[in-house]
Amino acid sequence: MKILYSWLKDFIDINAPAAEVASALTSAGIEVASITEISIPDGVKVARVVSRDPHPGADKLSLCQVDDGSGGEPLQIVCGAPNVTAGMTVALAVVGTQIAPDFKIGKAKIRGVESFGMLCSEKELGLSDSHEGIMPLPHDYKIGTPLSEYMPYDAVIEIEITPNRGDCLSVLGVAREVSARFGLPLKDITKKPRENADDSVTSAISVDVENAGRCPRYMGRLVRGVTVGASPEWMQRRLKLAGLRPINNIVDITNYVLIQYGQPMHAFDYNAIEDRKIAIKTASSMGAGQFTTLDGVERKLAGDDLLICDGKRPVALAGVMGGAGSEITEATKDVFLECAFFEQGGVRKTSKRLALSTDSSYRFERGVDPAQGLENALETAAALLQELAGGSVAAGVIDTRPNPFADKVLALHPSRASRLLGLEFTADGIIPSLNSLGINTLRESDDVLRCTVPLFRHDITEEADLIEEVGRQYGYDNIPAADSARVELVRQPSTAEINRDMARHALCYFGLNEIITNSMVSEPRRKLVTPDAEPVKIMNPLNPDMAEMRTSMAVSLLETAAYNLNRKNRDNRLFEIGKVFRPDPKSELADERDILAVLIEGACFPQSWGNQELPNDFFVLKGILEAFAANCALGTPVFSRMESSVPLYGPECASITIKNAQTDIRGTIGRVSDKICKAFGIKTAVYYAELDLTAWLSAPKPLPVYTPLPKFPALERDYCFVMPETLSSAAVTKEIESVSPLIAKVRPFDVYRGEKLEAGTKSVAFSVEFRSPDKTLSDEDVADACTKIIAAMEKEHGAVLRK
Amino acid sequence: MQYNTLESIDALRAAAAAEFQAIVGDADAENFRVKYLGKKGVLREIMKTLGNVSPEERKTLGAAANALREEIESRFNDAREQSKGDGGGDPGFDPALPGFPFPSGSLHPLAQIRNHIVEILASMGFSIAYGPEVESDYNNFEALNMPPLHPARDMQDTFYINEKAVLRTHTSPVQIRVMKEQKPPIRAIMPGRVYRNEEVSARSYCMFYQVEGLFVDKNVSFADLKGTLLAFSRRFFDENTKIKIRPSFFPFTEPSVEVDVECFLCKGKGCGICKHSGWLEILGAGMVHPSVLKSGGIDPEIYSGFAFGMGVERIALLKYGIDDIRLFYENDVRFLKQF
Repeated sequence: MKILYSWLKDFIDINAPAAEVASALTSAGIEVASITEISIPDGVKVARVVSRDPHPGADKLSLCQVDDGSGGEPLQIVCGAPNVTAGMTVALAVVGTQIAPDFKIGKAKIRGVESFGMLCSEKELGLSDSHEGIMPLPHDYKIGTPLSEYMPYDAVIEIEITPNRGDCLSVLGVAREVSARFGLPLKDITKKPRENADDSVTSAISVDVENAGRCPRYMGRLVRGVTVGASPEWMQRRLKLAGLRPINNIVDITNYVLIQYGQPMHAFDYNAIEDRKIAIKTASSMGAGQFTTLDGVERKLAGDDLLICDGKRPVALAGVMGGAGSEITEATKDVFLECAFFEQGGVRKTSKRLALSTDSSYRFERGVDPAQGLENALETAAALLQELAGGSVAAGVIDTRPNPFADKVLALHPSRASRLLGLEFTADGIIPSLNSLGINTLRESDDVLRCTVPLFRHDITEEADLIEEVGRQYGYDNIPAADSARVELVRQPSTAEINRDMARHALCYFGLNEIITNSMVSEPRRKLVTPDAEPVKIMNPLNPDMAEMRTSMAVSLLETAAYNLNRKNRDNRLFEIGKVFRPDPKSELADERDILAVLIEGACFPQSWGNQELPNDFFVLKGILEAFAANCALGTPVFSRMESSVPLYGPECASITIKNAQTDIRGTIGRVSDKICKAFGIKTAVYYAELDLTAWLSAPKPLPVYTPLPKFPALERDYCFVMPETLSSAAVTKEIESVSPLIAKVRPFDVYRGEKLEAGTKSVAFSVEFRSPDKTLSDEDVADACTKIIAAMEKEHGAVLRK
Repeated sequence: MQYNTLESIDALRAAAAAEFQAIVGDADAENFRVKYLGKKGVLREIMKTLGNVSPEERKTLGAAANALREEIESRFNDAREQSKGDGGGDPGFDPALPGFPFPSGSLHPLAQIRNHIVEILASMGFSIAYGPEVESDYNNFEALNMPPLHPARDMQDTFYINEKAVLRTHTSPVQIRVMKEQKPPIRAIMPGRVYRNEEVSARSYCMFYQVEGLFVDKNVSFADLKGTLLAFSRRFFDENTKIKIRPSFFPFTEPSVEVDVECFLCKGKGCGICKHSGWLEILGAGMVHPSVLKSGGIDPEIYSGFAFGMGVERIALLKYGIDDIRLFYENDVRFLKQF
């Protein structure tokens, strides 16, 4: 909201410069976004254009003779604006005027013609951003007068009001805060109309409120015989600086009152009100299904939208916008002014549902002053209509409920304020600071103050709110920080933090780059990766690319890989520990799992001067996971062929199971299918794995189990078997291990497929380690076991020792 | 040359030392070995010539010649041992060639800042709590003093999952969860991911990280809040950092304040990072609203508390001098590897 410094001065005699007022507002909790000072430079004066002729050397320029009031010959001035006409009153910057820090007016020759000054636009004078031609001045401005006499120094202070402080959405509200800060009295500038005793509002119109809960107070006045026209220049100027567009005197007056008091008003064309009756009722009670607002949009109504109706039809959407058909027009003669308090929630509901937020709804949602504020606004508006539109104000005021709300009285205990703020406050100290905010205090005892809170302070409803006012007035910067915030040194270390960090650091040391990705993904991508998963959908997504919560981390990692590949970043190794989401059948919330996802692509080690390239493949990723599992004490991962195919992967994939003392960790690993890579625009081979770490994260790290180191050396034997292609190395390892207790370790170390072998077979070489805890083994000690290995392999698996 | 005086043996020693130093490569070494240590080498020859001198002289000269031979032999063998492992020293050895191309990993800058914040607060006695990202409308809003038609809901554009659930717009609902689970004294921090339905731009993203803090006990005061935030700011930024407090509004705290921290770059003098104000808006804070304590099952007549929250991205942008928040989520590895 934009507040004019000069307007504030209507309420308070303040001499502090605008910047000082702004910093006081900031410390009162009203954030100042900007200050724009308006200061007409010396040398700009009122002048009149005597004649305007085309410039001999340029089509778009004109040659003006301008009377600057000095009594001498008119000045010749070259001007580029199209709106200049003979007889126009204008702002003239004479030669020598410093119009901006880097712009001084000098005598100039423009396209061969001399020019002695400049005619100014609003923008050049810092009055607005409007660059649309030369600013016309009213004809009653005296030629030759410095313009600053008509437009004295001013400043526009743009403020941001938090939603609790609806009372500050006006010049008056801001003036109240300034008054409290500077200890200056607030002036009552309410205007009173002179009533026409021969006319009575109550006999001219009747008002009926059907539901006082929705409309606790409705006031109105009738002003007859107005002349619709432009509002005076000073009013237009203030409105424009406040960011409103002047329309006509009637509408401008209601807007002026809105800005001054924060009270939205509506002006009806009295003669358009059918049956001279106003009824405030809901759409369902009225039987209205739609309504055309004055912006010409037909809006669908909900049953509990509140309407202002005349004898036949709705004429306004209460507190939000007036209707087409009863608004002020050029022909309007008699005006009915509405000034009401509509209940906050109702206005908000309607405004939200229709996505129609207006200056009016914005203030009603946050609460207006139901007491004096309503009255002052109505009286001032009626008086201005009389003054500026020549209206005759009918005697009397419509007022459905003069006192709709009881006084708000709250107890404040200085001892409690002291305890909460951490500084000693006494009743004597608190009373004046509350009084300066218009909060009346009655001292019941030294520790009980009965505070009567003005009804416009909708944010103050309990003691804590009063304590905030005490703290705010005292200044939070003046409350000393406690020397020792009471800290407890005994604390539970967070297992989840420790485990998460351990995992992240381990992966980082394996050369992986941690990423953080958006957990909102598009439906097509989710379907691509997990077609059968039921997603958690967002009702109001930002865009279709973020319509669902991800069901798999794969979408995020593939998108990141594609992003990097598109930027020629090769050999990507990425990981993230992030959340995936599924609907939780037991609640309206989601089942959220913490997933570690790893993606590798390109080379594990790129070619260098000393080595060949080692491309990434399934077993590189498997190796990373095995090293990671060992490093973080996850347990030993077991990789098995998938029972059924997984859409994410091509044929080369496996499931992962890690059993440990606390929990089973499950996951998958594989080469991402060509189809999916293509869908993500990836041309290289991508390997991806994920592990569900949800349970592991909160499990304390197990104590490592110590095994004494062997006392005697091991004996190694290598075997090479030709076996069926489908026989898994895990089965062979298990078979050999079971042959003798002396076998400590079995490790496949070579696989061969080729022409020398029968089709459907492969040759796998195993290294077998024999070890005894009691002695150094000799060849004879293991001879028996060796024979058994060969026999068992042949018998159980049809594997033959390769000679 | 006749080696029949001690002087002549000393001369031989000097000659051998000079030749030894001049050895370059295996061929030189072999020539040297043959000349001095070989079966027909100089030192063997000396022994043969000793027949011409007196027995006393023979004894002295013999010992001197033997000593010289051992000396040369040991120096020669030492040098040969040493050069064996290095292949004799390659003059083309170039240590500037790249090392083996091990990939270098990195930790995400946001995670690093988040952890820094969490570590400091944890060391100050705060324990860590988490909550779900899909949160009930009740915990996210109502329990925090924002009933359905409260205009404060406009402060946070919300993604809705269904009538009763939202993507949490802040980490504050975890306060409610913590208060319901624990009895005072409560000292908890709640780091996590939050969502806002806002257009993505260089300055804002639809998702970001917050770290929230909560302290509930008897007689917890605003001065305690100030002390805690001052201590945190001094640990996080600089030990002389100042803070400034302005009134503000959050529905779940009363009083509510914004905490500005003295700019860590210019130390309050004014610079580009702090937009020449000398201060950075970093934290929102306040005393926990009595209604919020009640929502958490805590009696506001007995207990009071403070809460504070900060945005990890905002701090990371300021600290690293990054001008586009989207860089954090695009994950260009050239960006990631800088942290």
